[in-house]
Amino acid sequence: MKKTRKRYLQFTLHRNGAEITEKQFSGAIWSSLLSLYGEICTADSKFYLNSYDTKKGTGILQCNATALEKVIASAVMISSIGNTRVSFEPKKTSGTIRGLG
Amino acid sequence: MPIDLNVKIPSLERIDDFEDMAGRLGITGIAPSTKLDKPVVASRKGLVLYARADLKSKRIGSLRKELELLRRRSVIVAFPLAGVETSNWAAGDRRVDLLTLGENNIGSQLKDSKAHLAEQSGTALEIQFTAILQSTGLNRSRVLKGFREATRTALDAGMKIVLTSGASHPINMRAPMAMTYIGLMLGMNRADSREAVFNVPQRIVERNERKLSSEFVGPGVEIVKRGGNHEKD
Repeated sequence: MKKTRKRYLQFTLHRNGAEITEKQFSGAIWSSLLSLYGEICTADSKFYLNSYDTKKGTGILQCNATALEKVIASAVMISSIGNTRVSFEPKKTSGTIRGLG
Repeated sequence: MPIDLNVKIPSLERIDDFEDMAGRLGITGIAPSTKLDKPVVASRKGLVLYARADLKSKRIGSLRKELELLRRRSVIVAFPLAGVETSNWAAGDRRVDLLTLGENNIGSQLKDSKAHLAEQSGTALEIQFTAILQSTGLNRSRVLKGFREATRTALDAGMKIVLTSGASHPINMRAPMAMTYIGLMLGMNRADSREAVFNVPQRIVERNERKLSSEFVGPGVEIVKRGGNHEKD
């Protein structure tokens, strides 16, 4: 099987309300991706939340290089998680986790 | 210099919250629809506020009068994409900066002829993405359909596009980088999307600031130096 290229994204999740857990955030991105782009794209995206600081709202996620735009667009489209309103900000993308600095 | 040309601040008391959020997101200027004292106001937090006016009249005659009144007081003048006659008039009038497509007129269509008129007069298509954020499922699909069709028509006609938040709550604002991904979702390529977020809004603001300055006489004519009345001895 051909190896797919990964992309890493550094992000900040701005919020107005209670803290959001890693599981909640990851679930919200999955749902948004599924709703916007469908099951095939969601399956092919290989999205994974590498790290997430619940207090600061900063973190790193990884996905398939071809699905990066769609994963980011899906995250940007999330307006609330639970009762907390959020605004997703993509900061920097890289092919390696070290490249994010 | 990313500027959000449409922020619906409910009252001036809440402007601080919007300024804080804009600062966090890296936005340097906003155009609230609330009344400002001057066309351009620099806030204490370093954000620049540009006066925005949304034309509301339903007939061309009253629209002209409204536009004459508001043009000298506002940096941004917008008109919602709605009725055929009024939208065509707005698209062809150089004094109107934006033809707006947002949550209040999702069903409105941007026709080819209108887009060509707008391209010739320099009027840009404004897409307020709050409508996408606030809808889900089939409703969101309908919003996306309208926005993507309008985007395609505008791009085909060479009409400029501006992405704005139309946020009535600070958290509904998005970072400029995030906005470029919304542009990609609407069918733009990377370059067009960056134009719609970073360059077009700035160019509109700069053009109108020049027009509002006392040095501006007419298109292409500006006072570059004022001479005194030197009488010969």
